[in-house]
Amino acid sequence: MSNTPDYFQLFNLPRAFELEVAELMPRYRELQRQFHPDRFAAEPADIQRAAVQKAADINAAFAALKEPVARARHLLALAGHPVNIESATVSDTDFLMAQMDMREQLEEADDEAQLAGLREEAQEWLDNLGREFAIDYRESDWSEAADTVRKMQFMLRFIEEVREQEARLEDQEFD
Amino acid sequence: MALLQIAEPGQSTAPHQHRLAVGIDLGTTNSLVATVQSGKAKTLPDSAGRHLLPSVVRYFPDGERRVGTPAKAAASSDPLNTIVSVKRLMGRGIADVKRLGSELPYRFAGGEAGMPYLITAAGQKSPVQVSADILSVLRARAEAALGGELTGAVITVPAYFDEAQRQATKDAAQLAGIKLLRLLNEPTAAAVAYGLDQAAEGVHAIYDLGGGTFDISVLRLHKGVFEVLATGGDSALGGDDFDHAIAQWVLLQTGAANPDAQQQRELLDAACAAKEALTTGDTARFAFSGREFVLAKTEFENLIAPLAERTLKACRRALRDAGVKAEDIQDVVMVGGSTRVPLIREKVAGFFGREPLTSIDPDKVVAIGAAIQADVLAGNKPESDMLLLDVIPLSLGLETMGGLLEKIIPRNTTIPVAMAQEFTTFKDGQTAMSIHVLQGERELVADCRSLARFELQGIPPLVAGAARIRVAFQVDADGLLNVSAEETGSGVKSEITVKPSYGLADEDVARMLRESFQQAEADKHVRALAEEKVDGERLLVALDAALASDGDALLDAGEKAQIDAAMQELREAMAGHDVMLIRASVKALNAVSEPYAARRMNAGVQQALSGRRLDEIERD
Repeated sequence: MSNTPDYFQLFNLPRAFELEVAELMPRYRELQRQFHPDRFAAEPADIQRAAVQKAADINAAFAALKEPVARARHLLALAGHPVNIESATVSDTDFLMAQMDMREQLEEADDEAQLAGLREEAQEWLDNLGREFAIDYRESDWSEAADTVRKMQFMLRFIEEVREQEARLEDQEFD
Repeated sequence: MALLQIAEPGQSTAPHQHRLAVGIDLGTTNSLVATVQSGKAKTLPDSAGRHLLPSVVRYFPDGERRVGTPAKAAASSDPLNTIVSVKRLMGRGIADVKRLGSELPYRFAGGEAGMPYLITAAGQKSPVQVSADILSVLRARAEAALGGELTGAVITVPAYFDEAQRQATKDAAQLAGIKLLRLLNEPTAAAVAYGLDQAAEGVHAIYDLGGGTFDISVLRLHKGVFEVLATGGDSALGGDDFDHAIAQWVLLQTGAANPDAQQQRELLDAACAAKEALTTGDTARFAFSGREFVLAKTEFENLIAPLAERTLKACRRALRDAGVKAEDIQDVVMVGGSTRVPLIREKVAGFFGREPLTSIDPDKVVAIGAAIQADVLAGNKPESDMLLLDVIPLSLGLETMGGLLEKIIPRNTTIPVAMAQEFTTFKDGQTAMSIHVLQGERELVADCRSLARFELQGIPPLVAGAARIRVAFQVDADGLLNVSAEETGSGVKSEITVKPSYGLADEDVARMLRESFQQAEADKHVRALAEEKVDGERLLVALDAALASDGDALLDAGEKAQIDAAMQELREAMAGHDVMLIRASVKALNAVSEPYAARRMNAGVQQALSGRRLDEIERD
C-alpha cells in the first residue's frame, strides 16, 4: 500500500494517534474553502475534475482523522502494515467473553436506560483500547496494534448496533 | 489565469463584467427564477408582475405549448394534455409511475429506456421535456429582465432526490439550453437565504414541505460555511398528498369509484382550494359532481395527521444521523407552500420545542438562496467566503452474492466523495464481472433503486478469488455518480458515468437537442458553436498561463509534448465551424491535461497550510 495518501500530511498534522479532534474542523474548512469545486465553477473541465478529486480527498481525510478506529487503521496502512478487518479474528479470550456477554445483553435490552448503559460501556472500552493502540503504535508493535484495532472495530460496530436498536425503540414509541 | 488562482487563492483575477447568473426553483407546483442585483437577491416577475410560474404545461395538436397560469386554468377542461406536478415523475420508472398512476390523470407510453412518456396532443413527452419547457420560460423571463444571455444557473432539487431524479433534472436544463452551474439541494438553498440574511451561527434545521416532496436537513453554519450534517425525507410526500386525502374522503362519500380524468382534476382542484381555505378558516365548502361538501378543519387534520407523522419520523432520523438532539437546534426554518398548513406548523413547533421561522416567503426562499449561490459560482463575488458542503441523501452500493446490497458510500457522507472497494471472482477462470449499482438503505437489492448495470470484461482467467476487482465510486458536487471498475493485476478498466435506468440515454438527449435546434431559429447552432469556442478558448488561456508558470517543473518532456499537440489540435478545430470537432478536441485536451491539473492542485495544497499556524487558520 505504498500509494496510501497521507491524511496527516494533508492536514499538516504530526503522524500520531493522539489528536485534538476540535483542531480538525478549522483546518478542514480552510482546505475546503480553497479546493472545493465551487471555487472553480467557472474553470475548464480538467480543473473542475481535479478539484472534485481534491475535495473528495479532503473529505476522506477528515472522516478518517476524526474517527479513532479509522485513524488507527490509517496509521497502520501508512506504516506498511494494513489491517484486514474482515478476515482476521481476535484471540484474546477475556475480550471474546466480554464481547459475547455484551451481545447477549444487547439482545435482551428492551428499554432506553439499558441501551444507554451498554453504549457507555462500549465507549469506555473503545477509549481504553485507543490508549492501548497509541502505545502499540509508538512501540511499533504491529501485530499487537493490529489486534487492538480489530477490538476497536468490534466495539465501534457494537455501538452502531446499539444506536440502531435505540432508533427502532424511539420510532416504535411514536408509531 | 485560471490555474494561477490555485497557487494564490487569496488574489482575485482580473476584473470582469458582471455575469448574468440566476437561481431557479423548479418546483412541483410553482417555479421561480431569482437573481442578485446590486447585492440583493430577488425573484423576477413576468410581464404581468407574477413571480410564481405554475409548473404546468399544456400541449396543443399543432405542437404549440403554453406554460404557467394559462395552462393551469385549462387543467380540468383539458386534463390529458395539461401536465401538472411533473416533478413527481422526474427520474422515475414505469413501475413507480404506475404506483402513482391511479392518482394521476395522464396516459403513459413506455419509453425505450424504461422512461415513461406522457401521451399528449403534441405527441409523446418525457417528464424531462416537460420540465425543460418550464425551464425555457424561466430562462426567457430572466434574459428579458436582465437584458442578456445567461452565463449559467443554479437549479434546486429536493435534498432527498436520488441519483436518477438529479440526472433527469440536469438533462432538462441541458434541453432548455441552460448552462447548469450546480444542482443545489433546496433546504441548503433556504439555509443560504436565511443564513446570509441573519448572519446566524450554530445548528439549524430546515423543514421543507413542498407540493410533492418532503425534505429535512440539519446544518451547521460557521463563518460562511454551510455544513449539512444530515438530510432525510421522502421524495413522494407533499401538499399534493393532502389534496389526494381530501379527494379520497369525497370519493368515499359519493361512492364514485372511478372518476374520469376531467372529474379527477376537478376534484383535486376543489380539494386544493379547500385545503387553502382551511389555512385561515375553520370549515371549507365546495361542490363536486352536483353535491355540496363541508370539510371541517378538525376532519382535515385527521385526514393528514398520518402524513404529518411521517415527516416527523424523518426528522427524528435526521437528528439521530446528525448526532444532535431537538433541543440543540437553534432555529427551524420553514420552506415550501405546504408549511402554511396550521397543523404542520403546530407539529413542527411541538417536535422541536420552538416556533419555526417563516420570515422569508416560503415559496421564494429556495430561489433566493439559489440565486445567491449562482452569483458566487459565476464569479461575481471573488472575495466571498460562502461555501456549501452537502451530503448524499441515500447510500450508494453494489449488488453482491445473494441479491444483497453492499454499501460503498453511506448516506449523509459529505460530497464530493470518492470511495473504492475490492471484490473478487467467485469461479475459476471467470473473465467477466457484472456490476450492478444501487441506491438505498434496505439490505435487499430488490428494495433499492437500481441505477445502472455494466460489465467488466477481459479479466485474466485465474482461480476463484485471485482476481482483484477494484470498483470506485465518485460523487461530484452536484450529487451525481461516476463508477469505474478495474482489475488491479492486469489494469483492465471499465468506466461509466451512471445514467440511471430511468433517465434519458445520451442519444435521447442528443436527439431531442437536435429536434429543438430544428424547431428554433437557426442561430441556436451559432450559439452552440460560440459556447464551444468560449470553452476552448478558456481552456487554452488557462493552460498557456499554467505552462508558463510551472509546466517545466511539473511535466516531463513527453507529457508536455502531448499537451502541446492536443492544444494545437484544439486551435485548429476552433478555426473551423464544426461544433462536434471542437467539443471532441476540448475533451481530448482535458483528458491529457487532467494529471497536470491534479499535480498543480497538490502543489497548491502544500502551500495552503504550510507556514501557517493553527490560530491563523482559525481566525478566518
